[in-house]
Amino acid sequence: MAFVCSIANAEPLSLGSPKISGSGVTSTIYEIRGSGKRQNPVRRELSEAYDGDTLFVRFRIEYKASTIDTPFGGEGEFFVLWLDSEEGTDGSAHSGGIPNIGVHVKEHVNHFMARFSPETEAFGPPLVGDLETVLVGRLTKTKAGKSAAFDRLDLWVDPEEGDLSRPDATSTVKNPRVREIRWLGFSTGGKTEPEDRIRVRELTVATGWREVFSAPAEQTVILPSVKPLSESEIPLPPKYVAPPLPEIVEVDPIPETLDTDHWSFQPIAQSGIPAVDNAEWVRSPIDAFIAQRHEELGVSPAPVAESQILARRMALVVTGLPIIDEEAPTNFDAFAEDLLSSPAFGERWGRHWLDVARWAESNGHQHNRDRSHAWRYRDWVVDAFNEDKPYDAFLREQIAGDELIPFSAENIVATGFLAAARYSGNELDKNIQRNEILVDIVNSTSKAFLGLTMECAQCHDHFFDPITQWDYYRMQAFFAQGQPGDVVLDPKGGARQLVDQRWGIFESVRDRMIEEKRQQGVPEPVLVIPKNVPKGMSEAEALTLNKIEGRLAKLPTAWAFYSPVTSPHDLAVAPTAIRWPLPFQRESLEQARVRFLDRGEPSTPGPVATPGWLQVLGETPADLRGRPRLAFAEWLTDPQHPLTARVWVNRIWQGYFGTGLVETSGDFGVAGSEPSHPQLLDWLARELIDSGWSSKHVHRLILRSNTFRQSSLFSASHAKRDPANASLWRWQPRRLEAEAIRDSVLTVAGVLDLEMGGESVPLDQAGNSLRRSLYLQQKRDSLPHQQMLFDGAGAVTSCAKRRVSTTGLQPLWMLNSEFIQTMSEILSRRIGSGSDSAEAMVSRLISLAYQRDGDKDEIDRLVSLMSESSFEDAVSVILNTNEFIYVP
Amino acid sequence: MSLRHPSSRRDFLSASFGIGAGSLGLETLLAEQSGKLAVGGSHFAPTAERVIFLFMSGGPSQVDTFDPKPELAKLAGKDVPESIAATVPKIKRAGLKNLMASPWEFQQHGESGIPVSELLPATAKHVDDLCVIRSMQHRNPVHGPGECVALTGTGAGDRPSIGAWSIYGLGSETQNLPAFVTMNLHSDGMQFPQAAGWGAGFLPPQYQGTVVDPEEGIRDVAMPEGFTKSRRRDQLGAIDWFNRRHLSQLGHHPEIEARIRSYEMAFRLQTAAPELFELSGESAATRALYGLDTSPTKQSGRGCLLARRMVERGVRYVQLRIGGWDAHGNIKGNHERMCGITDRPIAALLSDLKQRGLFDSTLVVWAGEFGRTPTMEGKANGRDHSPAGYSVWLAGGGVKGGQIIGQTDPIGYVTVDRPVSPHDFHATILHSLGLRADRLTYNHHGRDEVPTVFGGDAVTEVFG
Repeated sequence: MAFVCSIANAEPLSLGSPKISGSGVTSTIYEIRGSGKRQNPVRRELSEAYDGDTLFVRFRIEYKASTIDTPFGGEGEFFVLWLDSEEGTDGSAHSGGIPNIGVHVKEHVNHFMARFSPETEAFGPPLVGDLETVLVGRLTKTKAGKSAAFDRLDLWVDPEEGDLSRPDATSTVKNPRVREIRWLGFSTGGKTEPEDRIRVRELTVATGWREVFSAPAEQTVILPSVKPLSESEIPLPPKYVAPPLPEIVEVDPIPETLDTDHWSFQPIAQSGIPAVDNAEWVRSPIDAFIAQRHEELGVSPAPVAESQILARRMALVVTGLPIIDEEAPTNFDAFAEDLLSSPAFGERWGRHWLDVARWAESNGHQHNRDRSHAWRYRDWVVDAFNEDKPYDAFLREQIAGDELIPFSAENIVATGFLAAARYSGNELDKNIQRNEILVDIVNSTSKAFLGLTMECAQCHDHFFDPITQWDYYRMQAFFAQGQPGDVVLDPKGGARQLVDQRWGIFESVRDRMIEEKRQQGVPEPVLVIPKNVPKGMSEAEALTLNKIEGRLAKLPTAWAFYSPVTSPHDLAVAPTAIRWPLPFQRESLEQARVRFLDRGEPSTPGPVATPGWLQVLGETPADLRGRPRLAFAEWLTDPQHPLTARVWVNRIWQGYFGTGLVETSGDFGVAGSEPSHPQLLDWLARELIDSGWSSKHVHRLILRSNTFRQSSLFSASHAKRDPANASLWRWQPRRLEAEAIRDSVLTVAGVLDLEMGGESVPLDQAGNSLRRSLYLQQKRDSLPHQQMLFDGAGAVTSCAKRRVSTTGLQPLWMLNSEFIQTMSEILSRRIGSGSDSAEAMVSRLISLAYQRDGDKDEIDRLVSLMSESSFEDAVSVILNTNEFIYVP
Repeated sequence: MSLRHPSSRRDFLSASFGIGAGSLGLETLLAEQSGKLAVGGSHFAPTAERVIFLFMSGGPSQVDTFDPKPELAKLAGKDVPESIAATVPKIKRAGLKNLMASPWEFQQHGESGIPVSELLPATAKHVDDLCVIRSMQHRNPVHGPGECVALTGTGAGDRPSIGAWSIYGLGSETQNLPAFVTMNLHSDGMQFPQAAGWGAGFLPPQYQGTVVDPEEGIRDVAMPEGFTKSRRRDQLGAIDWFNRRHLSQLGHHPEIEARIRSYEMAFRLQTAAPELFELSGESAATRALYGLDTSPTKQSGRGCLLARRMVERGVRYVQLRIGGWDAHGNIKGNHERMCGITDRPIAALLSDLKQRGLFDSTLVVWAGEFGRTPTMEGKANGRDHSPAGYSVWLAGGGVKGGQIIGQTDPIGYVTVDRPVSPHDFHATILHSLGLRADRLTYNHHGRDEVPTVFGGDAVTEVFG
């Protein structure tokens, strides 16, 4: 590993080891900045002077693009390596007959350059920023001999081995000055600013062209002798200063009464199980409610699906994976139980919840910085489903995990729900940025748990629902004292002190840089963006900071929501280097208040809003015992709450049938749909609450039902009475989600990697991953290609239901992508090695892919295709058929 | 009773009832009948049939391109005069100190005499075809949300893009290529392209733009090595056989029927897409015009030429996003580079569309997400973001060229006359397509949503 050291005014260190007879390399990476004047921050002495006729020198250079000035009127950049007989001083010019290789301006463009003096400059290609470039120089004496001086300098830029005869630039000088080379050094000039960042490494000298190329890459490491700051030298973080508030505007007061007769705001009814004519069809109480509606409409249920079909359906719906190579079960209740206890259940239903939670692993917006600890929430969700965490606890921990006693790391992780908010890290206006986060949290929380679309109340009272604009900001106020961040999951361990020290150094350097700029006459407001702060650090500060950050990086961390004010636990928020960090200190969040925003505009704030839930659903106590979010969660999970249980059982129903009993599963408001089976919805909600909020109880009720077990048999007469199948007179086949399509392919090919949890597979490795799609990195605006194609959840807002698009691009992926090609190949080899006849191979293919036996026509059709082309083509055909990607 | 299948045909038609079912809202990617938009489907006679949106991401500076301010040279180094400072919206980044003159000269061009900066000599030759709006205005000075405002109307980017709305209203013209294509060039660096900018929002997903890499074309369009068309046809025949058998057991299932057709679409794409990206048939003159073989125009030249090839082949909406205009550190270097990259190819696109008789039926727009401050940012010779008043232009497709709409104050900071919001701008684009922004509706959550939810009136003067 190369070592990076930042050199501002480094002391000269002598380069001991390289011998001129062989070659010498230093592998230290020097990061060099300018100072606006001539400076020689790195000077190295050869172990013995060289006075032969030809000397090669090579180094790698990378100039940070954002710091390169485009030259005008003499601006631009200057940076060189010089070779001299003398060391000189820090300010020496090493010019006027001294060979230089580096960067200078030619006709308003920065170029690579070789020269002995300003008059003898010869230019190579232009300088390209952010690109490491190899420079090779050859210094020769055209008249040989010890007493002659070096008078010719050739330069190659990124040469190949065969380029010796084709230098990119050649400079010669009439009055050369250097007869022997003893010292080498890097020199900056008047055009090199303090902001400039130039990295050089692998400085190599050799006597031959080949040696320059074959020189070992890394040999010598030179460490600067810098001591870190002592504890007492580390500054404390500065006091928080609240940003000024715009003038407060007058707004309408909170309305006194609100009333509604909308169904979803009424108490959950105690529904009795209806008596129906078709009593023998009733396997689960659910069937009675469904049969009642059938009988009202004059339709009858489809027969029970064939067992192979039903097994495939159950496996796909419950776990998202087909079960291959197994006989269809005879006892489907036991089979359902097996599926519910398989870890794949949590992975499938966890993903459904992640859609609702608009969870992703990046901030979104233009910088879209990764949230590398967000995966812990994904795993928490999967575990919660697998262990059947009661829904009230599931909700409480996500909304108030950091407020719960006693401390548990899992509870902190659970608040990843709130922390999944998307926001722009580039926003300078803290009022806007905070509002952006609170808007996201209120919109997502209300949609996820209440099934209400609050977003319009941000600017005005809701058009349809009994939700006022005051309700909106009062709900925001529950969340005002917290914020998303990388929360260290260890309340001991000294993380807090490390974080304070880190900010102390960082902020003091930033203040110093701002002061320096101010001294230079930079007009107000003087800004130093966080990413530039490291440039202004002394070596000791940088070293100390690296040490602190290194220690912090080892602590377990989650992207979570934490309030140092309302949480009883003292936790540290790791200094994630977002460009404009949110206020991170306790005092900033203590002062944070939510204000009513006129027309939703942060620039027109009204009075302070105190925490309160929807007024139409009852009064909020004045005293929330210091833990407002916990109070909010307890209100939500009160068994009398009309929405929470209904909304959740409806989501489970949607997970089975593709459509909820309330079709708009994210909108139980007036503009949403009415429930197709209101009594059933209420009965299920009661069952959920009475079972101690056991979600798996609801799953079992559905899985036991004949409603779920119907075949998809079509009936023209029923279709006439109920074309949309809202009464569920048959099973409605539906397309698998993006994840389940890819996971099915992997399963059938026999290569699915079942490893659970942990950090996500980075996007650039997703193509080769064999893990479930759930574990591929979910970067906003940049989902894995296949998920984008098949309507994956983009995590911009809460996604109540995936859409199903059908485009011409999907077949291209299914037919031509490397993934499908590879899987077809693996699958055809897998089958081909165990079977002999074409018929046998094809039968095996159908039973693997569809989990049912193929019929004669199907087998014949594929055999005939095989005879014309290949078995692999037959495999690809089957993977492309609708049956393969539909829940049957 | 509500419909249960969001992608079913009925839902579709009911969704677009705002405009009369028969003509609009066909499943565009899979349009069964080819042929152009029936005029009866539009709200009034369109002046354009298609759009090319040249999106200059990062924020080009108005006072250095299309809005000359001689006053700036006089006030250079001074603060923004108080009378103007009072009008500058109180948003961050709106620096009020140290005004900076434009480093470039402006000259009047064409018969109309519209002044254009010397940075854009090639575009300047087309001024008589351009309608320059100098009075664009919104409030979001941050790239990501600003880009979302510019392309969707809201900073959150949670609504459909203007491209998606356009296609929703227009339908598609070709069965062989997607109706809405987007290309993102020079998107390295800080400004991550905002997917909302070509997203479908709450509109059905088929209206979203298809992202295409100008170098690589449409992903996975090439058949695996060793495949022949006839072998592929055999495969498709078998897939179709299985799918139809499957469908016959299910009765009516529009989504599955659509999937069956999608394989036909894919097959056509497989032929049409490589042909689209195969530029060897273009003449040497065309290659030279777009600067295909010279840096720095190579990449955007290819993008512009592809845009022309796409509209020629029936793509209705092409969005070409060219990033890199974020000139904080050095306005001179940045804008010289960006104009070097874009000026010739964009001018070439305008000439080429004309030459091929496509100009009058193609609306071409040029816009960033905002402009830049007339003040210097820090001491760095750059300019900061500014949405308070900035310039865009439109051409072709019924646009009355050679005119300037709107005005900013004497230093080019704030719009003072004829303010145009991004919503107005979107309404203007739709207007050219014969669509009224307040009548093009899609029912979402029980509400008839329109493209310009925060108001938005077409700037009809654009069309003379």
